[in-house]
Amino acid sequence: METRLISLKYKNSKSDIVLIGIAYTTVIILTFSIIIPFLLIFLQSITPRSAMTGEWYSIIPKQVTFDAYGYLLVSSKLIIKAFKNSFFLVVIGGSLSLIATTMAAYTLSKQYLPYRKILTYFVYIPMIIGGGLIPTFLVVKFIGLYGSLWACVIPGMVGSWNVFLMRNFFREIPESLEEAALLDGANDVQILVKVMLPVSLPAIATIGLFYAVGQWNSWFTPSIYLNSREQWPVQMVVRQMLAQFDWTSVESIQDMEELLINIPTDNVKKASVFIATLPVLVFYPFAQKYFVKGLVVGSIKG
Amino acid sequence: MKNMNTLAQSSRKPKAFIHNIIRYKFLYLLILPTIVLFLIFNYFPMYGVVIAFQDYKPHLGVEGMFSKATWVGLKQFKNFISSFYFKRLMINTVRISLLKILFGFPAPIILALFLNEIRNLKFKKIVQTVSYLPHFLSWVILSGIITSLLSPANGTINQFIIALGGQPVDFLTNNDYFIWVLVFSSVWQGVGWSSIIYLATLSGIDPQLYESSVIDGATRFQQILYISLPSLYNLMSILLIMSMGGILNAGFEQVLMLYSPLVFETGDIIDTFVYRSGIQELKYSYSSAVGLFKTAIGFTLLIITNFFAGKMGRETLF
Repeated sequence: METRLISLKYKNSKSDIVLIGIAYTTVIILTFSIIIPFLLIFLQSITPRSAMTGEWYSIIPKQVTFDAYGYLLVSSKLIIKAFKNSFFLVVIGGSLSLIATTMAAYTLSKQYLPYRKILTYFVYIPMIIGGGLIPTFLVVKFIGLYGSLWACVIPGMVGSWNVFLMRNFFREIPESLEEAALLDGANDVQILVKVMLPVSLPAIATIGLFYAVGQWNSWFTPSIYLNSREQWPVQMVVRQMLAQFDWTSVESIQDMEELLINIPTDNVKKASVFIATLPVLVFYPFAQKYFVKGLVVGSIKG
Repeated sequence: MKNMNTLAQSSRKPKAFIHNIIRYKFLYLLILPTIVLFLIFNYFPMYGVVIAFQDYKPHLGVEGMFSKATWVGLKQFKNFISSFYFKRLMINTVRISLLKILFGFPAPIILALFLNEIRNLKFKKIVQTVSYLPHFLSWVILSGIITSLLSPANGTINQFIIALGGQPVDFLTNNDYFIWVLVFSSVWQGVGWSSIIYLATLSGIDPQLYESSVIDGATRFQQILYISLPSLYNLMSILLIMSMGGILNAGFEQVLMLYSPLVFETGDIIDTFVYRSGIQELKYSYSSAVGLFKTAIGFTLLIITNFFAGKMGRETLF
């Protein structure tokens, strides 16, 4: 890219300028089509109902209220609990997934390992064919995981795709590194922990991120395996708020009165969407460089 | 390492198996948790599809699948295929998928080609960062955003329409508009992320190609047409073929979040039907049969498309 930049010292022709114009316009429209809806959600969450005149151009609210956030983050026990549950899923679930995936990928990356092919097929097959929703659901039920947060962690702990992605990273590491460590008298555990893992840190970060984001965003699995509100992660609470801000999600009479008087339900809905987006928005820019690398290496090497 | 390899494979006696396991016990131990998890949660449910050929009674628990099972053969499948839903679900699923491919397949290519023309690296970086974002948000959040834009009462787009003197449109409950909401929201969500792989290929093009084309008097448009785009052909055909393999996956969570009984006519897909009849109506056997029907077709398509992808030089897994 750099060389191309320097070498093009010629003057852009008219058609070039048109083309560049179209390119810039397109990407700017795309960028705004993503930024504006999030901005609107935030603005709508802080505009009190009295100030919502219904005019589309009154985007900047004349009055601002953070009551919806106050309600969600302070008075409502539901969302605080939901954050705790989501935290459990992201941190515990994500770590377990990452550890198990790294372990399996390391094994599969060893070309000399007997039965490696069979093991690879064993991990690969579930990627293309599965028992389907109901049989899997029944297995989780039989095992007794139904109704526990662990049901959202254990059954989907290892993703085949992530194993292969990680395996490809391990394969990139030159064999001489391992051989050198062997000559120095390192044992298997030392080779893995002190030689291979430090070199693969970007890969581990990428996969860890995929799992963490997956858990934070997961709604479907919790929705079929959890039965009490106490266990709901953030996405389920947000879904509930969006689907129907019903009176059952308000915990006491006092809350309900307060809600009726002060907080338009629309604000609460929008605020809940924004709160659920925030963690991704905050961590996302830092993580971006890793996952781009991860996706490209993994998919090209197939 | 190579010595170990030949040693392990040359001795084909039954003893060799135990010998290998002991020799590489550390590596086998590392993959053991995955094997156990997969056996329980992936391979056992594959056996569990037998309930599609039974009349499974939930109160019998595991035994209802084995000793106490009532076998009914293909009854559940026949019920589904002869039902009113069959045709509608197949058409809806395929229609939504095809429309998503029609718009969602070229979009990232165009985006990548355009981004490739943008020389302001800082600007390019910002666009890329923003465009990947929707990929990392759940359909719960995205559906909240889409609804707040489209709702007839106070949705931003409808307020805009009203301000321009039009009638508000209820996009999410209208059978014609609904599929377009699905198609465009899915393109919008995926375009940035899907462009990464094309951009990676474009950045691998030898800059000398562009330089010599400049000397020959090529315009930027000609560069795109004769250098950038052709370098993507291989990748494009592979990705297109692969997307055909997933044609029965029309976007389960997205549809589930956005649809309502009012738009079942065009918006209900196989996956959402399986979900409703299985998880909500507890018709386990029937719902498994529908799911298995889908898996069987999907698997066949995957084998076919994988075969073609293999012909095109892609490393296949069969």
